[in-house]
Amino acid sequence: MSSIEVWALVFTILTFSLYIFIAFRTRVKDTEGFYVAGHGVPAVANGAAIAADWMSAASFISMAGLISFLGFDGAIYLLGWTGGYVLLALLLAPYLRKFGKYTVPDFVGDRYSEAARGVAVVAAVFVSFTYVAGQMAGVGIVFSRFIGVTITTGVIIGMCVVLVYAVLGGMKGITWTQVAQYSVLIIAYLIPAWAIAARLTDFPVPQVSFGEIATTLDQLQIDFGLSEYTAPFTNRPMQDVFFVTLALMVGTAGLPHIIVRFYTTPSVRAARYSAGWALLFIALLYTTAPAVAVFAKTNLLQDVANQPWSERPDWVRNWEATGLMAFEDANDNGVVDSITSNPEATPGEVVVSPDIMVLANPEIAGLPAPIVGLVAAGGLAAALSTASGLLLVIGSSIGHDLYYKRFRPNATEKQRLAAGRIAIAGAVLVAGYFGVNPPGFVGQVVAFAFGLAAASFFPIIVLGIFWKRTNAAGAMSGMVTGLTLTALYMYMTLYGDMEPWFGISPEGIGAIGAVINFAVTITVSKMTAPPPEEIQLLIEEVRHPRLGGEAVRLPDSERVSSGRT
Amino acid sequence: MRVRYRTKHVGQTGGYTMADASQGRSIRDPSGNRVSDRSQGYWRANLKVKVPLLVIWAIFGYVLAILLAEPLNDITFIGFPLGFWFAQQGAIVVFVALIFIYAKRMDRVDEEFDVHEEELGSARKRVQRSRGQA
Repeated sequence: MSSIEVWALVFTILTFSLYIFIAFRTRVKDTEGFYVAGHGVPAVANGAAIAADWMSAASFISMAGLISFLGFDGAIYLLGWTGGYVLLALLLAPYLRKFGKYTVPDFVGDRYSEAARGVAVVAAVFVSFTYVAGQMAGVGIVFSRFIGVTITTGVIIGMCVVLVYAVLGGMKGITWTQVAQYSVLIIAYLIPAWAIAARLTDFPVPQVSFGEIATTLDQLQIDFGLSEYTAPFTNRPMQDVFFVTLALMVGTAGLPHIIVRFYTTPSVRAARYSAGWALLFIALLYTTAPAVAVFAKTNLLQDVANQPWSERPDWVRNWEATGLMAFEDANDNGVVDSITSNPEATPGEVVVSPDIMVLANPEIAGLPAPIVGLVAAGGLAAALSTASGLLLVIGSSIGHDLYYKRFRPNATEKQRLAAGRIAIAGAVLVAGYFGVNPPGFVGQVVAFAFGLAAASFFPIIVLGIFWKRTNAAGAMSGMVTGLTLTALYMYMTLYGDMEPWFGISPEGIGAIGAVINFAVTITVSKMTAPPPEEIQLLIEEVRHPRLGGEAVRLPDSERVSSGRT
Repeated sequence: MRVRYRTKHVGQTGGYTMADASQGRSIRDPSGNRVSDRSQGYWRANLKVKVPLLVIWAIFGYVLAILLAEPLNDITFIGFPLGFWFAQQGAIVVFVALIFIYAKRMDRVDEEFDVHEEELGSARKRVQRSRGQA
């Protein structure tokens, strides 16, 4: 075992023991604790949990690398995966918290109809499963790369850990574990980034100091025959950047595993603040990632570009051994003439996996082995925390929305809790299976989960709160049209050889799907009868922190009205 | 199930009925104030806080970071081309600030309309009460 493997193992064992310890301290006995952590999570802790829930293996390992090859246009991820929280905080979080139930389908079902609840359950489960398969695969990859076990063993270890804390503690266990996981992942991300900033510039704050390196990188890219790094719209046309960003933002605000986290706060006020804390915690990583991208790309070009491959530095040799970097000399001159991260789209002599940019960073910066081990623990924390949040959504959709709401409304508290636990355990097993045998489509579908969430949930939840006139018929037609058109466009452009319309890629179509959903919902609602009075009253209550029973405590009027029905 | 949830809440509002709510009149809280007027005013105040913040959100996220990125890149800001800085740093910082500004302003609106909540307080008790009922 190399010293890096030893340290990775040490940090993994330490952090996993911490997660299990938290699970035992936070085990629950009732469904309220199991699904919404007893509405008892303070705003800051919920913010950290949302941040961990949100930042997956993709954010931690792949995003900086993707940005480094997209240059300016990498902003689609930076803007798209942060701006959605403004929508969440202003348009959804406080109202859904006031509503106070357990799941997203709960709101859709109570606000609209049982049929709409059914559609919401299917959409929530579909979105979450496509997402979670990628996370379990991520766990396997981190294990195999840093600790040297097989991917299958890695996935099984990850499954066992999630199984313990999700089944035992439900939302409560998951929440407090996520708080710990956020701390691990942010430390593991920031330390190497600060160290590299200190090595490359005279100012160790990467957010500030990457400006001057970006200017250097612009010149390096031009010398290497690429476009300027900071020049916009060199990889995607402007309208595509616009629509992909919009689709990711709106999709963020429609993802069930994020929305349900706002149910866990003790009050409406705390739900508002926890959105702020969440985005602050996320921004720590998301403002560092573009700096890491610039540093890594600069290092890569300086060490490899236009130079003989035989003189490549040691870190390149190490990562070549893992298969994440490869050189194929197209013109047999022994010199690196082009670099690519996506050989199918653009050919290049050196093929680099974007994942290297984060994984190799500590090594490029010459940091000691313990730090590299810490990065492994951070990657695992990012993947596990997102996986557990998604598994809870799947578990609650099946255990609560399906079993209890549809089939066994008379189930006792004990049976409901058991149903939730069995559903999560089942979901872990299925997710583990997909982690070991990832179906070919998962990689692509994860990106499209956002488009589908944008085109289905977001418009009808927002309209359901902000426009009383929205009715079940409108919401159903809006959801179905938005989902169908979005999925159809994605399918046709990916597999049906259809040319994208107006340069809008399949990742960006969700924004159009959301607009269509809004339009259809409004039109159909206008043409049909307004929703019943009790629904209009429900909306009044949801808009108002205290009307119709408080989120936090019983109002004084309870005493006055006792005895009334 | 839904019926029980509804009746419980109607009871807690101090006794107005669904018919009252839909006609938007004569809903009164125990001290005789018209609930409908107050909650309408609260909702309007709510929207007045949101709309300007959403406009700022769109300006930073879309106008400065994307639509005007090319011309803005000719300006240099703390070592960055400005359009690039907005797209990869500035907009994110503004997003964080917007949410905290929203939360702070809503605190004030909640106070003004006397709808602010007690923190945590007896949340535990309420949870225990609703157990077995919900």
